[in-house]
Amino acid sequence: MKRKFFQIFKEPEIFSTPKEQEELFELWEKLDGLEVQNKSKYHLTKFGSPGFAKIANIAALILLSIVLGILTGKWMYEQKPEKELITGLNADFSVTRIRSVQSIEEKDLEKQEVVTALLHVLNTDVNENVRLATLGVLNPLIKDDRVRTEMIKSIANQPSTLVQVNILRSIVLQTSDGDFEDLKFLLDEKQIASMTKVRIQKLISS
Amino acid sequence: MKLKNFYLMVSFMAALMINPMVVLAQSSVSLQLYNAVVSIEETEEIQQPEYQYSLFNGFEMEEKFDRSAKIEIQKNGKNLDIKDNGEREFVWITLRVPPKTNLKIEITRDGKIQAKNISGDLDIQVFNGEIDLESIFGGLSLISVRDTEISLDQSNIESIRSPIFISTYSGKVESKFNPKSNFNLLLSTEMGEIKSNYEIKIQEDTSSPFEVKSTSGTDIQYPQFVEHSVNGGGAMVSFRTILGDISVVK
Repeated sequence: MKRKFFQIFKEPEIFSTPKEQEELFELWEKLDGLEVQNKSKYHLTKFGSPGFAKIANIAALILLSIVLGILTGKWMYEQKPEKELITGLNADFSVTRIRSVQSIEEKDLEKQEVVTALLHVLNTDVNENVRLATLGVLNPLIKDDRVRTEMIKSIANQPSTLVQVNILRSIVLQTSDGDFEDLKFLLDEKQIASMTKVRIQKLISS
Repeated sequence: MKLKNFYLMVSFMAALMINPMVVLAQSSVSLQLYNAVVSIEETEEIQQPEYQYSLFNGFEMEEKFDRSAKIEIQKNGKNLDIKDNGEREFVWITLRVPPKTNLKIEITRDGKIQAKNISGDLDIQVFNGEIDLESIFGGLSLISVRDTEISLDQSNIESIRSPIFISTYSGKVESKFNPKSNFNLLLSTEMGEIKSNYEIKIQEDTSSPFEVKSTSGTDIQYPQFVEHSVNGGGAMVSFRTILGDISVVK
């Protein structure tokens, strides 16, 4: 407001006579008198005033949108365990990779891509503990023929005897019919430890 | 677009983006050493990892507190990497780390590690050694390739929230837990013994090619393995070994 009147005042061709200028000063004084700066402060800060209510509304809406954003983000991540798995498996620390594998829930195992990712981890992760944690998550799926076959193949890929015997134990515990013929080819695999081979031999012959 | 709507959209998008990818900057320490004695202390007094080390070449011990030709040290803010250059000396190293520091320790030969009250994750690999851990609040992954004696005392921790995985070839894993702690216990030894004062059932493994052996008048069958929910279950505690013995007590 002040700027506007100041600009008008600065235009002498409009208010050229002293009287007009004096009238303008008076008008300006009156308008200055109408400036309600104190009222503005009152408007914005006093609890219960309309201004306060307006700010509180905006703040509440922003807060609500942040909460909604967080909940949406959480929901989106929960819907994509395979993405989380892949992200977590790039971690340098093996504990982070173990956490990532263990974050897979039973309902997520219905997704083929999750099972494929877990089998990949079982075969390739450099850390024995990550592979054993993965075995624990895959355990309920061994009754599935495809998973069983992949896990038997995985025994041949394992450089660690500990992982070999633990996969074998999981397979044995999940085999109700006592048929272990599908393990036979492992006896010819060079990487299989003698301890594992002795157990396979016993399973086949019993 | 109204200003109010713009603010709403920006705050919504910001919240969406930061969640759940919010990762507070954590300190991390990585040690890759040949022979080492490592002692780790966590303290709130510092913001970044600190270290002191000395080298022992078999004849004399040399105190070194700064960069050395024999040890490669990279310190980048909260991250500290220490490697030896294959001189095959023993390194004595004392680490002081701020809370929530993640530690990765690889010792390719003989290692002795001592750590207490650690709130970050511990990722340890040793060949042979002796490892003494107490009150590990973060996760633990420990692998020993050969003969290692491991002691883990978690009796001061009522709630175990992070996974604990220990895999060894031989040696001993002795552990103690708080009677109130809840966790899922998974133990297995192919040619060793499991001892515990928890009411656990040692299960049979039908693939076992081994006979019953007798120790102190008691017949035991091996391999032995245990799957047990302690106090309703919780984080996974897994101790697996080939030739080693496992003890879990409360």
